[in-house]
Amino acid sequence: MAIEVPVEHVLLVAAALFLLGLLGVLVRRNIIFLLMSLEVMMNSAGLAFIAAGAKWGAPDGQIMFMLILALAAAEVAVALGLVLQISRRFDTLDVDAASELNG
Amino acid sequence: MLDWFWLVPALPLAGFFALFVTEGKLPDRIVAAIGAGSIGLAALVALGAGMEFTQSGEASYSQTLWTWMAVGNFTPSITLYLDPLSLVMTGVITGVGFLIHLFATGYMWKDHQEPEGYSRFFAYMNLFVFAMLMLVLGDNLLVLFLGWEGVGLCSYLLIGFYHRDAENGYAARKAFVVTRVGDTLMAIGLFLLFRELATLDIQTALGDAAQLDPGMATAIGLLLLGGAVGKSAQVPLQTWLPDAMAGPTPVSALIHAATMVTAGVYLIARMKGIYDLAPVAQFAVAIVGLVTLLIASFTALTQTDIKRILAYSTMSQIGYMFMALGVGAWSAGIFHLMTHAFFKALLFLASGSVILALHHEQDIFKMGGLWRKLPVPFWSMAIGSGALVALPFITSGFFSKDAILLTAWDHENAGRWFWAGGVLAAFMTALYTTRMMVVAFFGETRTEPHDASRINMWGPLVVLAALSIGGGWMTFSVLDDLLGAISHIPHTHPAALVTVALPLAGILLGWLVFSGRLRVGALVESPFGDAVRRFWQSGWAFDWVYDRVFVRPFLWVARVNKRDVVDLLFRITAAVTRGFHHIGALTQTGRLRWYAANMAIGLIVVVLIVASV
Amino acid sequence: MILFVVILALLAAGVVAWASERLSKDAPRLVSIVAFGAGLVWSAALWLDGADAGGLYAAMDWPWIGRFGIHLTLEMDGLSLLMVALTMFLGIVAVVSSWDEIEAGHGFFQFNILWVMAGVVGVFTAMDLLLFFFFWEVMLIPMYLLIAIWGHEEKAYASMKFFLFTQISGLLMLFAILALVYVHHGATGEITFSYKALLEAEIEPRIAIWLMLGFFVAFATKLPSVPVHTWLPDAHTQAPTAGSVILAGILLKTGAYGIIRFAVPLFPEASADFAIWAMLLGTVSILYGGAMAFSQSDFKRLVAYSSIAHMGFILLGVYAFNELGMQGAIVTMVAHGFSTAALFMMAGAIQQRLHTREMSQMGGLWKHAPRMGTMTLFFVIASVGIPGLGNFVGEFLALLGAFQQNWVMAVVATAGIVVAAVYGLYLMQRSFQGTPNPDVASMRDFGLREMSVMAAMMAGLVWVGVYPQPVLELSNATIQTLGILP
Repeated sequence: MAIEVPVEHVLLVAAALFLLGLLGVLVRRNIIFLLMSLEVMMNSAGLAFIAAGAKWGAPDGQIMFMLILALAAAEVAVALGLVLQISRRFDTLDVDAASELNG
Repeated sequence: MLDWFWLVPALPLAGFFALFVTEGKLPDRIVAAIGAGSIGLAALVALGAGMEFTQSGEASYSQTLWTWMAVGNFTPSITLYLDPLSLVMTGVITGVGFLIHLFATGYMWKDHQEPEGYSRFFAYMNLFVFAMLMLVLGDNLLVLFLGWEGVGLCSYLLIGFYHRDAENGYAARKAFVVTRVGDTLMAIGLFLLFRELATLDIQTALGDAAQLDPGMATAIGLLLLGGAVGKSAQVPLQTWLPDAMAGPTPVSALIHAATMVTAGVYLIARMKGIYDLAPVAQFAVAIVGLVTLLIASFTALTQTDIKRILAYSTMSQIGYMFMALGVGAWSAGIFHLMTHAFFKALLFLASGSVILALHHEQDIFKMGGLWRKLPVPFWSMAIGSGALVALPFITSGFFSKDAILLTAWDHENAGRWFWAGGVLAAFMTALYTTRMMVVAFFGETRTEPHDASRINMWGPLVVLAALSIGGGWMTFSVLDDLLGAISHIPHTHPAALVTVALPLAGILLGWLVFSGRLRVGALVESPFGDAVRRFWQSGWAFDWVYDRVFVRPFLWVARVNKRDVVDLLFRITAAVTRGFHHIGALTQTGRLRWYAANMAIGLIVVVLIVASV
Repeated sequence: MILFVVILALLAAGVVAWASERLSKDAPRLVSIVAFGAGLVWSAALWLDGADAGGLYAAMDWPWIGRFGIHLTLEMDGLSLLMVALTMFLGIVAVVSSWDEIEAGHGFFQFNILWVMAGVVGVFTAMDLLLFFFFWEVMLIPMYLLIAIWGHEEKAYASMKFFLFTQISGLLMLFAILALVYVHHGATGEITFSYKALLEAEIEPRIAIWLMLGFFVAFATKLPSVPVHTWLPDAHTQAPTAGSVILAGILLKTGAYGIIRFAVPLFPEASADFAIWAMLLGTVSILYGGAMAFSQSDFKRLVAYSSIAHMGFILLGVYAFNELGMQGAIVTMVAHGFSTAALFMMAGAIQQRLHTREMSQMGGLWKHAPRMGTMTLFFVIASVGIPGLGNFVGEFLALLGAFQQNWVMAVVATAGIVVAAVYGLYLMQRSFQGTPNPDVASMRDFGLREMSVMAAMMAGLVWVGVYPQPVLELSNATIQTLGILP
């Protein structure tokens, strides 16, 4: 007998995770932390999907989560390449150093 | 011969063309042959044609070459029109023109200022003669205008002939621009005439002139007078002529004494039919003449450059011609034009000989004592001066000037004033001419002359001297039918006696003063005397005023507006656009986290908006 | 058909010229000269051959975009023929004038020249409004490239300015064209861009004035007239010599042509109401252009401003609404094509020899280069408006026509000939006359190649000056059929 977790609670957790992630993105300058925070945000969205899928009893939520997982894997692959480049070119992992695209 | 009349303008044009395309590569002797020969041939053709024309007894002869342009009812044609007036002018232009060209072949020979310019000089001179002939022979005001602008152009080119000296260039441009002001008025006159009469054909226009509204006739007359005033160096557009003396002396003789500057007189005489309908305009002609001849004769008294003296004297003699036309002495005016062409060309050429012998010294106070050393130029100058001051009964100038002054006496409208002014100026003419002769040719020698002139230089002097004397003895009656006979007042009339006597008094006074027999130093050197002298010497301050009123403001505007104030409109537009660009670019920090924050805030705003709706 | 072939041939010659660069650097310009020479012979042959009964020398009409009633309508009447012949002639002049100037990209340079000219020929012959607009744009891009790539020190600014002015004003014209078609569609239910059909369109006066202005602004910018003239001094000064020759000789004339062909006939009443303002713009251009020319110290910029003054006579003449004025405008177009092209060629030649356009660096050049001096003198005199040369005929007729219409304006504009004398002779003085500048040790004079082009232009000016009748007859046929004269 599974314990029924109210969907609102799950969504609250997801929102909290999302905010934590966003806060991490905004305040951390280290690019690795930035990426991790992004992962957190993405997973919060995935959690929200799962909760919604469970609530309506539809498989769509879980499918979306699979998609997000794949997306996150691809994103990390690309992002780590970029991180490597940045660390080589700027000799730091500070994301603000890479601000050459200013107007 | 008359059928070949088109050769008269065509020959000088051909001469110009030949000299133009050979780019000065011809030997100087061939250049001289082409330059003077083309004018000589033209003079011969003109002579033959003129004789045939006078014998034919016709009032006029015209030869249409081609239609210049045909636009609607505006169909000016290139037509040569020969009548007694244009015949006299053609004779003067080709005849005197040839003598001056001949003189120039010697004067410009191995010219040290412009050794390569021999061919260029004769090319310009031939072009000038062509243009001048088109001016007097054109049967259409547009063809006349072609000649009118053409002579102005050649005048510009020849004044600035020694173009390495920037001052000559300035004088040339001044001459062109000032006369162009007159040309503009004349062009407007042509527009008006065409609007009123739908033709620019001179004979047709004069025939239809009776249809003109009197006000329109006056307006046209005044506008044409504006053109004449510019070209003939009359007040208020006279300032260019003294500076025009920067050109070589034959140029001054041909263009600025004998022919071009009398074009205004010709124009007004040619358009007599208009002025007959516009007494106001005709009166204005007389006033312009009177004012000019007075101003110029006083100015001439204070000049020291021999060519400037002659220039002011030319101005004042043309003033006589204008006054003659204005008071109705039409034939006498043209008569004076002819005699003036003889004696003023003579004076200029003789002074040219002197200048050349003195290595381009033009200041009369650096001459002196030349009468023994340069006999031909001296006697030429003496004869020319005699004609200029109108020595009674022997010189040509006397007959023509006398006719003008005595007709003025009889003029019903302020005639006595015109007469008085004319006689006063005649007195002044005698005074300044005597001054020039006494200072330059008598007294001690200040510069040693080296006369190297040959027959091609003194030959023309002799011929012109003969014409200056004999040119007045013949009865000048060819223009009687066209412009009316010259009036003859018996020389027993008191006015006539005064007219004759005053110049003699002037000569006497001049001789007494300038040979030092009569001391006037105190008067001249007094502050008042000096101020007057400086005022006269500056040409009555016309240049000063024009400089302040027209030249400087124009230069000022040109200087401050070099960057074009209108462009400011577009530059400001561009600057504003660029300003917005900078504001927008501020958001592009390149910082990833800043973008992320923006996105987050944007998202929140959107959510809030959606939620609140 | 032949017209389409000619335009395609010019475009193709451009491609060939580009490709032929591999052979030698002379090959591209030979291709250009042959192309323009053939075009000149072709237009002369058409001229001698005479027009058909409808006054046309060549015509074609193919459907293009049928759904919107857009046709490939090309027709050549007297005015078009005159302008096309001038285009071909100045094409040769342009190529010769940049002979030694271009250092890199010979092929692409000639490609651009040929493409501009193809566009110009299209502009002068298109009788379909959209086709006209199409060619209007075709001229623009290669011209932009000519300035932007081969221009002088401020080429980026100048080419951008040129592009923006032309493009924005062209956009107004496009709006006006579309609106005109829309209005016509509303009245007749037929969608067409045909010039002939739209001539018949009846437009409410309230709308017509705005549509007319749309066209007028585009053409007045191209002409150019004060106050939208400021692109011209920059573009002319910065363009390579060939670019200046083409700009002054031909591209400005497309503006004048547009006014005569489109702005006035399409909206006769609106134009008549507007005439007084157009004449005012013309008068202001004459005086302001002249005064600005005097202010300049840059040889090329001075000539550029003088163009503005000369173009003022065209506005004045066209909007006088009489035969005299219209003919004066057209003769001015031809004569200005010769005289100003020659002066720009001179400016280019001096710049190439002395590496400066500043007149303060010149002075007394006659000593080194009497031929160049004589030529400059001749074309300055022509541009000053001495009778016997082409410009006088044009300007005199324009003023004479304007005087019949509005004498005050004509009188003020006539003062412009004094200003012309002031700046023209000043140009002569500062460059070739005066004391020889000691910094200039020597200067190569014109050789046979330059002199033959100069001689051709001199002959053209004298011809138009003393016997303009053939030109007048050619344009008269057009003027009569346009039906814009009362």
